[in-house]
Amino acid sequence: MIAWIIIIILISSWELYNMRKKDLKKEKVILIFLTLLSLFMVFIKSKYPYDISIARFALDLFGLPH
Amino acid sequence: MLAGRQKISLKQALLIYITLFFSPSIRFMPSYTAVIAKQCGYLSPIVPFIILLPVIILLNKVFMKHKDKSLIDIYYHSLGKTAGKALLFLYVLWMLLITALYTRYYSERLVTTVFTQTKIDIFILVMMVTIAYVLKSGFVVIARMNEIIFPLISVIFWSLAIFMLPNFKIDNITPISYLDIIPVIKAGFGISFLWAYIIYILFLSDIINDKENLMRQGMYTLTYLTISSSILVAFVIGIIGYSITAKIPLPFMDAVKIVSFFDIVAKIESVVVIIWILADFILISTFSYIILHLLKSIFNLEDERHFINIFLIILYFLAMLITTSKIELEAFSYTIGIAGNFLLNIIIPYIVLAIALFKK
Repeated sequence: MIAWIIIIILISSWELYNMRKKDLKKEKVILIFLTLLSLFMVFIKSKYPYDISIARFALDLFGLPH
Repeated sequence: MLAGRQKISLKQALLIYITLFFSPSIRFMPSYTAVIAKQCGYLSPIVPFIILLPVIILLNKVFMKHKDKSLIDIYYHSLGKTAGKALLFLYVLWMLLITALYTRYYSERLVTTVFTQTKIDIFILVMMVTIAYVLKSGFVVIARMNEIIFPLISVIFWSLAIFMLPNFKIDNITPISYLDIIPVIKAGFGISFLWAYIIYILFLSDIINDKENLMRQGMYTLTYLTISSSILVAFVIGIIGYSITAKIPLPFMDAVKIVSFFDIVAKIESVVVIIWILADFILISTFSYIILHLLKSIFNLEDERHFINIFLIILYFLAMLITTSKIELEAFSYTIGIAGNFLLNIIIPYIVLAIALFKK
């Protein structure tokens, strides 16, 4: 988990630095959103490694057997 | 010579379309058609041809009418800017989900066939790093790589078809009667979304040249896909029979394992794994590029390349979180996957293109 957080923060910082040079404002906002989303996914995957299944959730939602 | 260095030709785009088709079709088509259409499963690819032919005609007419517009612009033109963007955002979410699905299938396949003692995340990571490296160079590089990968896949596929001939039993794909018409149509509807991936490819139409040839080249491509998928299903069912094809997870692999050509060529399933990985690479990288391209258009971004790394990390986690078992993954693909693809790739494009044709 720690390794992933470090990787994500490093990549995002590098991209934000590149965007600052080109003055890309909208891109910065989207990148920050995507970074937060990826950190959330890291948290979910680390906390519940075998419990979460998007496929199962979708099948249950539509009442389909699995 | 192409007009722009960052553009690809229609031929290159359609070759990518055929390569995209390869991986899901050999995984999904034989077993799905065998379950529904039984021994006549090989006739079901005719149905998607009939369904997709009007889409190609519509696309051609719309591109002729709006010569300077891309397919994304045509969506905006038909539905209005806000509704168009909302719909394209739905495409982004759906494509993200199915790309994660294909990524998971790719690693599951490797773990179940060759590397049984390896963890699946290793394969996903390797694929993501490779794609990140290639996507940075733009879509032209993927199109050129596919010009090498496509002939390789085709040569191996047609060679396998020839090697399979001695094991082929005509009794396994007969009899055919009028009672098979409805099951064949049902199975044909289920597999038609694979043909409809042309819509995704044409989301890149602003970087595709000579779209005026879409009718002719699109027809050739549809015909090639229909013939090759009919042969694929016919050979799998013809070798191992429809009842076994319907029950096993990778029937094409099992049909290939049986192949022995005069005892000279044997154990060639490893070759299939290689071309399968290559096809998966083209599929995942193309879908990733299309998602980023759609995001660029929806949010009016200047450069989408800054998101490649973080997007692939999200895709990695999505592929890990999409399921906990292969049974769920297949249940999802066979129900929601087919329905969602049919809605977004066939029904909605029909409506949008029809509006675009009549709207001034």
